[in-house]
Amino acid sequence: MRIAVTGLGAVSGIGLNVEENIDALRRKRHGMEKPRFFQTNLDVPVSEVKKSDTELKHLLGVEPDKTISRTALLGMLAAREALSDSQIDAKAMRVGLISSTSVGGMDLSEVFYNDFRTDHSRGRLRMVSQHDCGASTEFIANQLGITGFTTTISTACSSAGNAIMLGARMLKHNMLDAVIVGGTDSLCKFTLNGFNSLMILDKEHCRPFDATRAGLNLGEGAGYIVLQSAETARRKPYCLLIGYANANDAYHQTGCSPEGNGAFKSMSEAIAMSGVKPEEIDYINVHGTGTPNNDLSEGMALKRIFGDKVPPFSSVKAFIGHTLGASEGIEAVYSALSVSRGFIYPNLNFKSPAPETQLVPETEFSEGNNIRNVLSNAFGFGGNDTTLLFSKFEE
Amino acid sequence: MEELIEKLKGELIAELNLEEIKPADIDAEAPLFGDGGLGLDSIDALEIILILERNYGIKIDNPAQGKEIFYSVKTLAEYITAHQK
Amino acid sequence: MQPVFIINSSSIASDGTVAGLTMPAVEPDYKEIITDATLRRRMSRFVKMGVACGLECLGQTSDIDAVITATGLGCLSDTEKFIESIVVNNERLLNPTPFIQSTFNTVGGQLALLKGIHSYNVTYVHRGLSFESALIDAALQVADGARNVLVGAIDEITVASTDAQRRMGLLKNYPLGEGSQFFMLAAKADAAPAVCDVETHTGLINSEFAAVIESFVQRNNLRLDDIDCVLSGSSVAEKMFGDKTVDFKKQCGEYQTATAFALWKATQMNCANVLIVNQYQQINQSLILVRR
Repeated sequence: MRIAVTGLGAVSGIGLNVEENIDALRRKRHGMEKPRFFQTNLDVPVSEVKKSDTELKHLLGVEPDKTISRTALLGMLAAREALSDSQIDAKAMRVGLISSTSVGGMDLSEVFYNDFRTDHSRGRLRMVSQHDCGASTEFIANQLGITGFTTTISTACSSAGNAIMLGARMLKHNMLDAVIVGGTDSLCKFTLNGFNSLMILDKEHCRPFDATRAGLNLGEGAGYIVLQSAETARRKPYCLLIGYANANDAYHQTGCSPEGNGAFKSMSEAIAMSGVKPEEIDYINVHGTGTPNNDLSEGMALKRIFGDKVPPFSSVKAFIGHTLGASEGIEAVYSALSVSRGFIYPNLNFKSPAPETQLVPETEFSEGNNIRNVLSNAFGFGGNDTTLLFSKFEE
Repeated sequence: MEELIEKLKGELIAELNLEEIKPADIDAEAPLFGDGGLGLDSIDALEIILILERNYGIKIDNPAQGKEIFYSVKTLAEYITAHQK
Repeated sequence: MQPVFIINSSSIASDGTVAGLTMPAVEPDYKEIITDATLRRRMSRFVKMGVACGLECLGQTSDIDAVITATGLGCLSDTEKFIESIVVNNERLLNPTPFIQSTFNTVGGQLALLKGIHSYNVTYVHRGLSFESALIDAALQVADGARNVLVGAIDEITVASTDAQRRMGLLKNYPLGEGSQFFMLAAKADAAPAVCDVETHTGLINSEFAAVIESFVQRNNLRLDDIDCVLSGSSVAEKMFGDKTVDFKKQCGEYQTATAFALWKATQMNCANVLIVNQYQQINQSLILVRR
């Protein structure tokens, strides 16, 4: 079965839909600034979606006083765009939703906890009832009228890649006819302080793959793609998903092995599954968080696979931040467009290569390139490494 | 210095949750990290940075800086003595 | 669904004792099981429970091609600890350990780390369908050629979660439970019980769920009479199957991944056809068919 990508939806700090995102990438307009919508004492740039919860509810046609986590709101917006873009009839087919998130309704839980912590009889229950990750997925399913198989994956920063993989596998086993897959995460104190406590937040704008990189910037957003068999597509697919793999680095709870074992394994397996040769890969959307450790490890893995012929690659993290559970959802959207419209995205803030790898990313936006295959990486805590391989669709 | 070394051993055991290790088990000159010593890792380095800032008012911004300072309990004590205000 | 055989299983669960509003798990001596002191010293009770249970199930089995875990609420104690420290310390000088350990895939990641397992490793976090989702993924892995697949679930009781769930009215029928169960699945095994089918639903009313149960049984070429035992966490099943039902949540309490306990119970029984019917708080409904 050929797994086709037929719908795209993305919301991030640089745009509320796919076209706004591409426009910002084209104009090199990033989303980093001081937090506007959530309160924190930390003085670090983040890529926030530039709408308040109330504004997001308005866009979604949700009553303003309804309590819904920002994670669910962002997810609803992007998943709705993807479903509508695919032109599938959700009532005539078995349509599933596989979503991912790393924090679920933590933005509301934090508010609840302020009242609850000293007196367990206080705090609005409606706020903590969405704490679990599944709650955001059920809100999205309800909003879209999805009644088929629905589940949620959480494997930190690779979550959405794993959601996409499961969707493809369920299609192949004829358990679904179409599936909306991706992830959503909102910024909150919990993750911002968590990454701060690990001392891997850059107080400046992040610089993926640069020699002077000093950490990551967080972001928020959501990204979903619709997968279905190419034979049932009602529109011309953006591309095919022909390879995917998840592997474990099994090196450290938060760090990556210096030689990039997990990344090497997930990329190699995805490439092997696809049947394409490494030299047929024309662009790589790297994970590229901007931490010294990730970019070195990923760079080493790239060199092990491609030798001195590493294809054009870039990280979009300096645009949208690291959106954690949403990152591979949004970046799968970008990758699909890279194949269908020949886009290569700029890696902002790059000046000089890391001495260990000497790898130089693409720094300019270009379009109309002949992109046959795109590799897209997402790596997370717990050594969790996922790679997807998107390929040109031909009738 | 001896007093500070003993105090640091106690703080390391408590903060890093070193089960079943007594202060006397820690050789002040043995390496804290990697094989052969206490086998601490990069997460412990972050916890030690917090001990320095909370208990001694010493700030370390870059974990990579800690490598030599955190070599052993003794080097840690020497650094504190030299930098405490 | 192609049947998958349960070649090994392990459980850390309540012994049925109710303590106030909870049914705490009876825990083993973790030091005996998790011998790596460097990793163990950072683990919360949740992580120890899951890792110990996972290690017990792994035993000496090699060729592990997937590690799939499930949890409803994840590492609650570490999550609470970190939120509390954010408030108390006003976002300054926070210990990273509870944040690191609060990640939902910590148990899967630690098992990979301890055993050097570089294969597929995923965690499901979908309310009352978390474990069922993990089982479905595991069955797909086996169907796609995975040799041995470790699948398991973990959830823990905390004081804060008990108080919040009591106020939400979630503890009316059963005390709050916790525990961990792991299963080693493979494509073939002699005389081992097999998971033959899994189905999940959201938001069904009772009459719809009853119809779903009937068609599920039929789809597996069985009549309702062929079911020897029903491990039930649903009033719908009790009405349909009467004396054949055993209310498993009386033994383990109510929590999102309680069906992992039910599956473990099923592996301990000598019945040809065991049906697990569960309803998590009127939100999620699930069915698991186990045959020998």
